Amino acid sequence: MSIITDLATYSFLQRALLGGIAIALCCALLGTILVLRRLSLIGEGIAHLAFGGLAVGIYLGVPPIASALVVAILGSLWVQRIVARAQVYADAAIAVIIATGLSTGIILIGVAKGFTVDLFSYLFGSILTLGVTDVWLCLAALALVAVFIATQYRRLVLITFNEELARVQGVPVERITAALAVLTACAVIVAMRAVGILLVSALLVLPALCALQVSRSFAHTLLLATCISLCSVVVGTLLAFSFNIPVGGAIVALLVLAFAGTLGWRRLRSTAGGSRV
Amino acid sequence: MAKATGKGGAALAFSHVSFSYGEQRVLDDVSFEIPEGEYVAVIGPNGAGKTTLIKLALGLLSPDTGAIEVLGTPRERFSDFGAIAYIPQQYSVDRNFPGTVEEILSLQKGENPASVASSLDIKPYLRKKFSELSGGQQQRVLIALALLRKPRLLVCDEPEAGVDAKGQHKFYALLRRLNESGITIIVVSHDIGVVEKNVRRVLCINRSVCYFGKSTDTRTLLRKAYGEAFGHVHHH
Repeated sequence: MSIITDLATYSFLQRALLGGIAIALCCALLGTILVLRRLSLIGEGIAHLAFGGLAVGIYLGVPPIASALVVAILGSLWVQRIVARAQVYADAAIAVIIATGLSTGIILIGVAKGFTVDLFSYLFGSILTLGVTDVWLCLAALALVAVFIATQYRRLVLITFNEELARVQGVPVERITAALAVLTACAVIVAMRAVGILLVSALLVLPALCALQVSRSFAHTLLLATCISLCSVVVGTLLAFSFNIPVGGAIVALLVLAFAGTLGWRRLRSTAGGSRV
Repeated sequence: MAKATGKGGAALAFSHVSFSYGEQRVLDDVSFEIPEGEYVAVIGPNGAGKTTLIKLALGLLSPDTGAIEVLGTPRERFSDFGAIAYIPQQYSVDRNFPGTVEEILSLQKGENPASVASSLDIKPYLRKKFSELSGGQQQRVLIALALLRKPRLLVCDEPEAGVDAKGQHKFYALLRRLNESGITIIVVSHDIGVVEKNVRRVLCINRSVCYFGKSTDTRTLLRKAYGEAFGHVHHH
């Protein structure tokens, strides 16, 4: 009952939940495609690159979110480009952007002492501090992701099923992958305010992994992933508020529990059925 | 240029095509022409350039030099994607793909999915996940997906992989029926025994040499391309 009263009373809690719902939906929809395309770690890479972008923004006195967004988008497009040209493996390219982002951030922290507090707030995040502008940014990111998934659904499923088959059918795989990379960068930037740079990839990957253990179809996987993500963000935020614990940690801990639960459920079902599921 | 007589224009024509992966030359000045309406197997051992040849034909790779024509149109200008269907190797499909057969068939606009599913005997598992099917069942789903496009040219990459002998027999019988209905069929294979029994013609490839002939002459063509020893091996 007190949670409902708090929700009605505190506007920051309302903003947190609204922004959190938008972030949860964004990450679950994109994350499912990324996991199935073996790009699970791209969120991690972009988040670390965003760390460097934030540091540059704070150092130069420009809005850090803007600088982080530009750096994240450029970095994600670069990864997509070099992987498409088969110059390096995707995981190796992601390792490079993680190193680039972190080293840039660390150098700037060393050069300009004094802004570490600002930067560390992004490292760990807090959804309870979302402002009105942040919420609008989250909703804008959700709108972009929703339009992308709705208009490109058939092509995305085909690319995920077999990329060569999609190319033979005239699907512009490079353009769609680039759009996916840019949207992932946007989602990472808004999600890092909620769970922090260090945990943002969990929000992309874990809902999809949970859903894949128990889903019955592609559409069911997307639906389950969004439900799991939504529940973990809403429940995690309210738990964090009630028990005064870090929000990002609470959300991701719930997702890890959900993953353990779905994995266990799959094993039970497989044992009962006598076959691999 | 290796060429077979046929009833129409060329379904696929390579003219002095060369391709390298980095420093390694895989195809060297290869020329051939497959007429429309043919039922051809591209044969040769691993590393002969079979899959590269098919990827070039499908536009998945671009040649270093030379020209490729598909259904009478230069490959780089080809845009009638509905006219070509491709059946990839089952192993190239992600084993964790969560989609059902029904979802996969719905990816393709064209022929009525229900009638194609019915003709290929896959109706009973439309609601099943693709990853839960046997090799033969998965192959039938991939064929159904290809047929929904009502193609003029059907390209299959190593259809024997992961399918038992009975499944292979059914598959090649289906290909023969499709060919008789007017579809040009190109099958990549390294199984000489299966090829001899099933297809009409073979394109035997060895990097820079290309021989085109009747499937009954497969071993002779292979000996010409690879030397005396080859006609006696690779019978699966």
